Amino acid sequence: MLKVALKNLLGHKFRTLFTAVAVALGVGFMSGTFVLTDTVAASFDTIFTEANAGIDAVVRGQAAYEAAAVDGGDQRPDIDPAVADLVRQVDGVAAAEPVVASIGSVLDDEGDPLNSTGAPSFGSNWTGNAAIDVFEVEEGRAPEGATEAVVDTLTAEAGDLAVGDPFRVQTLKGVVELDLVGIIRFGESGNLGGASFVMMATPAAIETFTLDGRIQNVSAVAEDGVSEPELVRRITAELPDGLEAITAAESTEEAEEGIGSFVATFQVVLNSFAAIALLAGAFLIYNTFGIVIGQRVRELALLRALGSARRQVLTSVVVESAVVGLIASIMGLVGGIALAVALQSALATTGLGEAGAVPVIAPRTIVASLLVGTTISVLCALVPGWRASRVPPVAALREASVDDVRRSPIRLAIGLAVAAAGVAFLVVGGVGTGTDAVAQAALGTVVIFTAVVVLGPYIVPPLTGLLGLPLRLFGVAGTLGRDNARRNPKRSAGTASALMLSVTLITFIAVFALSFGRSINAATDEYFKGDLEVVTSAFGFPSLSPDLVDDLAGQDEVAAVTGVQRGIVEIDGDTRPVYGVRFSDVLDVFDLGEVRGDLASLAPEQIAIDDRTAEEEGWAIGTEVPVTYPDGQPTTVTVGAIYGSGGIVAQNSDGRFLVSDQVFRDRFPGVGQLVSRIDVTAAQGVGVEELRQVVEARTESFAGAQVRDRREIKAANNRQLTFTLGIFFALLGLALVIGALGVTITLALSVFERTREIGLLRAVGATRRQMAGAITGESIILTMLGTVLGLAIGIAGGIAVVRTQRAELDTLRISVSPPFVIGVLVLALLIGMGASLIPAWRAARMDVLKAVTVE
Amino acid sequence: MSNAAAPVASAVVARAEQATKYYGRGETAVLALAEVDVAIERGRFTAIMGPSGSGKSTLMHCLAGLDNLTSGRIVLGDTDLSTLDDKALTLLRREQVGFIFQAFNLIPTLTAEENITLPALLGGREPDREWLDRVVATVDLGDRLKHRPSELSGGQQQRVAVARALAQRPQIIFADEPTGNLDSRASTEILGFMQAAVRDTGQTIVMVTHEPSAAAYADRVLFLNDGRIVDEMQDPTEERVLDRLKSLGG
Repeated sequence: MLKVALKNLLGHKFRTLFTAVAVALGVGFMSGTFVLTDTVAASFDTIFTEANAGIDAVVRGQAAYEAAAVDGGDQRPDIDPAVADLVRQVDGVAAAEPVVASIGSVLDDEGDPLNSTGAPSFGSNWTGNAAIDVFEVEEGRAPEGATEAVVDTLTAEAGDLAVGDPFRVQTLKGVVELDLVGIIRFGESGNLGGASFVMMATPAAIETFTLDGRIQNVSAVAEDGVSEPELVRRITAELPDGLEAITAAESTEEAEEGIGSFVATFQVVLNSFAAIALLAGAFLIYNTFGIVIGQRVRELALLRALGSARRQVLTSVVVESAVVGLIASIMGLVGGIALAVALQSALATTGLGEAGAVPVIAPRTIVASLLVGTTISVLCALVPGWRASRVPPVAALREASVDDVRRSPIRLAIGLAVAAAGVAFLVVGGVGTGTDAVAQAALGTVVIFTAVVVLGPYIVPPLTGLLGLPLRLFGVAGTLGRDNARRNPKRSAGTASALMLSVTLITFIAVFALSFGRSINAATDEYFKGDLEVVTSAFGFPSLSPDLVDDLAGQDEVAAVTGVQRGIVEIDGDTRPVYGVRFSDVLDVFDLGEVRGDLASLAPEQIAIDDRTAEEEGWAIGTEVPVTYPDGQPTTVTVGAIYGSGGIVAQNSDGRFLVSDQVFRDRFPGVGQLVSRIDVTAAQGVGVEELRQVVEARTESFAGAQVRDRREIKAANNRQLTFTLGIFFALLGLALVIGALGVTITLALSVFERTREIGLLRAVGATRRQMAGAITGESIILTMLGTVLGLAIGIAGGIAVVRTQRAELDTLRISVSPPFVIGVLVLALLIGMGASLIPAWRAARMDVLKAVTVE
Repeated sequence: MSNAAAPVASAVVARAEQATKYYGRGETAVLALAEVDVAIERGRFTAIMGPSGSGKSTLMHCLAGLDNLTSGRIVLGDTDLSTLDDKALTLLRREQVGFIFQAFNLIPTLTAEENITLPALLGGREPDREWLDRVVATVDLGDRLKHRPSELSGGQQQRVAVARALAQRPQIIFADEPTGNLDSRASTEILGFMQAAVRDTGQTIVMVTHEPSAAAYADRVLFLNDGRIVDEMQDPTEERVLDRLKSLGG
């Protein structure tokens, strides 16, 4: 039987190849993700180990509470540079130096940041101690004095900077001009994961790069014979409260964990798209095996008649699928590794890792790829294989009928029940609000999708008739295409399912994202009372100085101005995001809904909360709430005002706690004080253009700062949205490709099966063009089936999920964009035409004589 | 098409001149037709007989433009088939040639009526209703027109095939073992319809068969052996055909 299975594979190379490709694409996506992320993580591990190689201990401020990695991780208070002196006095310390790890972004001639990779731009200090400085001077010399600086090789290259050049750097306080006296190199690669560095002598670095003269940590080197833990123990004994010491090894480990958790998240996200691709591949394998076994009924029956046992028939099908799966997995694994190497090289050009780094192929990658690909193939072949084993021997003597479609009433009953459950979940979710409602609506979408897959054979015939109406314009070829799509509903439904999967997801995400985008724009229309907004283009990291807000507040043309700062704070035992604003002006910039209490004159010891928080926590004006800021000092604040909604401040459904910007100045580390955006309202009688000139003049010293009016704010929001959607679509594109492959395979199998029919048509006068047209028509119907159903499910699910957010976002708009829907339909049309190319060509080229005389 | 109304140059509808056909190449080449000269006369029912491998099917396929000759030529009406490309051949088949195959003559997704009018539909033309009604009446399919092939018996399916061939009023109809898959009653019916079409409407039919009983319905029988026409018989009867076949050693 093994021989029979293998011969089958070889006998149908085209089919085997296409089935394998479908699985290979998914497996390749998965293995590529593993290899790429492992390689990137490994290169960071090397960097961190190398960076900490010369030191033994790190002294730093103690984090008052833990903050999630997505919120930027723990916020440690900055420390006094004098701590370095304290550490030096400790017995066993050979050397200790203050370390400045602030922001310093080298600018090009236009005043834009040179480092545009998204990796951080550090303003740091050159200690002059070779054990502590992680860089070496490559060219020129170490910096001295107040204006000398060195930059890393990557930055020097990017900015075409040479020793002796003056250059400009954006710091927390504004733009400064420095003199380049040297170029420094880190290890072999010359850079730290794409991050850029500008370094000055320690006193100058503290003066230039920090807001308040405080530093981030102290690095210490032990005397010979003193171990890292011993050194830490001795230092810790001397440290005042609020400071901690860790070993260099712990510091490396922490850094690796930080990157590791980022990489892991990335891995999970990418792999979930790989899983979607694999699911689409699974639909395709299931369908292909089903069709093939239907076509081979006579052959299988003959095997049975000749005495092979049922189990042998099943075994032969399973073996066949396992071989396909294994071949596909190997193809995928190899392709995935190649893809990862290519992507890694592309990333390396932006400074992330080294070009040509050895790809990390973990055993886990190989095992998972081979196992997943093979298992999916075998599982998907089991049901068709079981069916094959039930073929009675007598079927060998009958004319095999390909139109024999049994649609069991049990299937209908199950399908309808599942559909009812799905609709129920969707409605309950869509009517409700909150996290549970989101889960219900999402579950409803999945369940309805499942129901449509189950009910496919019932839905296909009427829907095909409807979708096929326009095909009548193309004469009898179109009619034939439609009838062919309808003649085997199970097959058509199975083929459409793979496409339906990706279209459902794309639609779901689009409805969600477009609705969210429109809602945010609606919020700008309704709740933004200001005229201009200042933002920086630095990947959403806050990079505007709080001083700039004060500067703008002092301008005559400005009636009201507030910055928006975001930080994680422990409130009543929970860590929550709080937003720093200028209470005096905020109500003239943002409409926060109905406000109770005198919000405009709140003191730093008071906070403002939104209605929902007040209701959920049972707090009222005057309630005292324990709060811990990053400086670790326990504080009690008083609820001073309660407002309707802070969504416009946070620009999402958050914005539930507002504090004075003074709190950020007093209680947050330097980098945490940065402002992500500044919103400005013009004074009476001042036009927007006049205001813009004033604001632009004041923001000149902030690199990448952009001033936007209302229209530009919304346009930028739309651009951001399009970009995000583009990434999702690209990731889902693979599943779409697999769906299209499925259409091709089904059609190719159908063409093979209908050889005589096609021969007859050609004999009685169908031209090649008409033949190809009929196949293309059928292909378009198959893709349209999947697309229309996917659109319907995606829209229904998307609307339900969006609706659950209406409590969080009172400007909620549900957007099912007609251009999107039309775009998807046009895309489906193109896919339908593309998928039919090979089968249509085969049908058109079929030798008429061979076709009509085939036995 | 109304070929009947067109001026007729000769009484010959189709002819093969020095028709030679090899299958394969070089040493393994098999000679299927050896310099065959034959003329098919208008308005007659011609049967081609011969043992397996005698080249009878090849001759028919070449006459019908389904296969090409290695050398020699086929003229259908006034057209030399060797000068036509695939598209022109297709259009010629659609408009001037009718086919009846042994089995699988119908498109399963189309109704009987759609199958009958298929060549007209492919040409984007409205079928001639009056003629169609007459054809349908001739083959006695009136109440079955809306049925699909799977709902028809083998004999009924073959009647649909005959009706389709007749509906076009082609210059010539080729039938390849049209009764091969039918029981004797259905065979008699089908052959009767074909004979009636020739007699009543002047249709030209060429039929390949190995059954002497079927050949007896024809006006003329051509005997092939080893790729050559070895004999011919006018107004055959089953007994005479059988005798002749015996003498051919078939």
